[in-house]
Amino acid sequence: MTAMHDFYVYISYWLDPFFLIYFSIINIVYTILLFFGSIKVYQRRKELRIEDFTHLLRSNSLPEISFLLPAYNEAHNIISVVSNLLGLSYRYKQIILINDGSTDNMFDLLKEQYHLIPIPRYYDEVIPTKTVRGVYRSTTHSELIVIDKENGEKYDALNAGLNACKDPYYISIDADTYIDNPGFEALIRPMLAYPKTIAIGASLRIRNGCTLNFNRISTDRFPLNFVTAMQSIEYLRAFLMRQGWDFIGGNYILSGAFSMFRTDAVKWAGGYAPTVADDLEITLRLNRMFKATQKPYIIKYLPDPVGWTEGPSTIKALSRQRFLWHRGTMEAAWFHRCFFFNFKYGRYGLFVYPFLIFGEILEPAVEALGYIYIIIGLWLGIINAYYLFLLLATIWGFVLIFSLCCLLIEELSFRKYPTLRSMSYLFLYSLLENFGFRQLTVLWRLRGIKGFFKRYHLIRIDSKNINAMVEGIYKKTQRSR
Amino acid sequence: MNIFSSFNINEFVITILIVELVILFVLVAVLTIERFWFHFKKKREIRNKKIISHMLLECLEGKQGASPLSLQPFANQETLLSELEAFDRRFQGDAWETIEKTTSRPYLLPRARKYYNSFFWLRRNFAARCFALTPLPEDEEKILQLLDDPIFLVRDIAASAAIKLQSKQGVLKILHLMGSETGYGYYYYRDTLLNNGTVQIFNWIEEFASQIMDQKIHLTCLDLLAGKTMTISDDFLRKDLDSKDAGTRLAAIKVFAHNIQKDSADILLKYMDDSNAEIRAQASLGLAHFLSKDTLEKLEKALGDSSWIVREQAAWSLKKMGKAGLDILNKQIMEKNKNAYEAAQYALQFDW
Repeated sequence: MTAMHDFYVYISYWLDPFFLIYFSIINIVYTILLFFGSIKVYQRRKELRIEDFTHLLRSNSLPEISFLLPAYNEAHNIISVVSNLLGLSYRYKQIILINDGSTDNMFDLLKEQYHLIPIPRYYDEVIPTKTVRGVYRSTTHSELIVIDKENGEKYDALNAGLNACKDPYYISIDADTYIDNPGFEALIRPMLAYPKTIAIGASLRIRNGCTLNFNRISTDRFPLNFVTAMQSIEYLRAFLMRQGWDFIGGNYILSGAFSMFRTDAVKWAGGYAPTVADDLEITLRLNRMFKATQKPYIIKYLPDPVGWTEGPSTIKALSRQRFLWHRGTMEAAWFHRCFFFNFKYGRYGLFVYPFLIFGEILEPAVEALGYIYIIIGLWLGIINAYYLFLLLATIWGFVLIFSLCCLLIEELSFRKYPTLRSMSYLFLYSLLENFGFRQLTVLWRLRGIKGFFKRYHLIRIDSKNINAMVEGIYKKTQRSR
Repeated sequence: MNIFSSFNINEFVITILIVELVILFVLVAVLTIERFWFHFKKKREIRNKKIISHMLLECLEGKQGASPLSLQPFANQETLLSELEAFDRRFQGDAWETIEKTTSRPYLLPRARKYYNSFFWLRRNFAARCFALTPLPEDEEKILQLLDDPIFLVRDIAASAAIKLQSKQGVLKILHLMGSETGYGYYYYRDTLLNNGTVQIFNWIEEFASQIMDQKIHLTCLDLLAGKTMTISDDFLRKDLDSKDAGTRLAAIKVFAHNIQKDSADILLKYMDDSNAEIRAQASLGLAHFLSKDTLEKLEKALGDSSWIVREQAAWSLKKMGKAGLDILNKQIMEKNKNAYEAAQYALQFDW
């Protein structure tokens, strides 16, 4: 026991400053991002007052935009999602739904509801995918095209949709995400304001507990329960952070549930890669390839909440989602490890990517280590319980202030939760976040790290293929110059 | 030596906790005050807008003369401008224009002339909006300067002002902008020109197309000329048709296909045999306007083209041509030519 005591005291000389420096740096970065994010939201709020694109959106000379909607076993909500997209007032849209080998009755439902009939394959398969069994078009809504293919993963379905997409821009959207007209119109804005834009992401909100009437979201009954409220607070925080990244020109992720891309840019980059974090991967790859080939580009992130996505409503479903997200983040980061402190990639190599590694991927491991360190210290009687309580209260107080700032910024800007009930619930739940929920998310993300190492033999092959493809494209681009 | 041993951690943590509590209290207080302030502000704005709107309507009905001088106490310039813009979308004619000018001149234009050079883009945007509402020849220089603004939300409104003012230099600048801007910006200018451009402006565009050798601007002019119905002197168009560059040939064919000229049919028939699939598709599209034996034969042949876009376009054109075209589509047989049959069935089953 004494030896253990001495050993604990010895390592505490190293671990105490390590924890202090690590969490201080992380929290300072978050505070800076929050500050920058707030500036972005403030600027956007000012723009919203004068922005009027009604004239443009009524015009007869707009390009078509495709919605790529990959769906697997989504029979329960596919009709409402497709109706939501069909109901958007933008006239020049095409919805490309990819049935990724669903085993439920989703395809039959679509056939029946939209009177699908087979049409000739009108495109070439530029990006290889699993076998496409047929292409269908709706006789009642001619803007709806359904590609029926064998089961791959989401990335494979997106690639099949990308092959069929002939329009200059496309929007990738999840089969559980809903959008409204103002949100969609806001998404087009950066294409107007910044002509070099190749991709645009925007804030998402949790839909559970909200109602959708004629493409208008009502949040009066939000939030539904603790799990969805927690996710809402997390989303508010995460999307404000992304605003901060956008401010310094370091966007590294656009939400796969709803983002807009320039078709030729993604096709040039080789389409989507085999990982569950396809959204993070494609954003990292676009950044990497455009920087390496010195092509001018902009990736924007809008503060406007444009999409409403169905979050997991049970702890079990949430744990699965977080496990996959963390594993996917690690996969994508591993594919593009060439960023790591690489001067060639500017702020991405020196700041953004290292933060992704140390601030996001390794954070649950360090936090878990901290919890273990505290528990052992308490058990050995080295840590004073009173001091510990004060320290934890300070840390959690900081997190609470952070959440409240996000709520305040939401209240000052977009007001998507207009009722006093919604705001009060969100405030109360943010008080409870640190007691149990935060520790659970650490546990789920640790499982993600374990899952990464379990799949490492496959990830290594994928990484090799992706990097070879990227190198091939570089050579081709250089030759064409 | 542990770094914590050098100072009193207890006091330090308690101080931070107190600071955090104060911040929390302030945040909750700001949240509550903002709720009430928002409602109050909104109510006041609606009231002011109502008053301005009522006064403008009274002016239009002739109840209050043509100078609504009593507007000032109720509105800041931003509210007044947005109300005038809303009215401008709804009303036209001499009466409205007089009211618009008499209101803008004293209330808005002096501020716009001060703001057009401002460091803040929101002020430049305000200036551009005022000029777009009431463009006067003496402000042409300022409008041209705003067309070079780095912010799109200023450039776009300045473009509307230049078109409304019928400024030749302004139109040329817009063409340069269209040539250099990718993305949606291009469509914005295109639409503004097509919707608000007068015959005079399109005559200038034709002149620029024949004189300017810059490829991007030339193609932009052709694209605009394809969107209007007007007679075009076809000397430069013929040169473009013979160009080695497929993009230029395609733009010229688009003019003949969309903006029908006297010899469109012959040219479109000729370019049905071009090596570029997009040009063949455009020619097929244009031929829908000319019902003749030659056209029907060419389009029927195009149903078996190697490119889907040509087959699809030819089938649509035949469908648009009425009974003669529909007969051709219906007689296609799967066994004889699978491609032609598929394209015919596609056009028959779907609307354009």
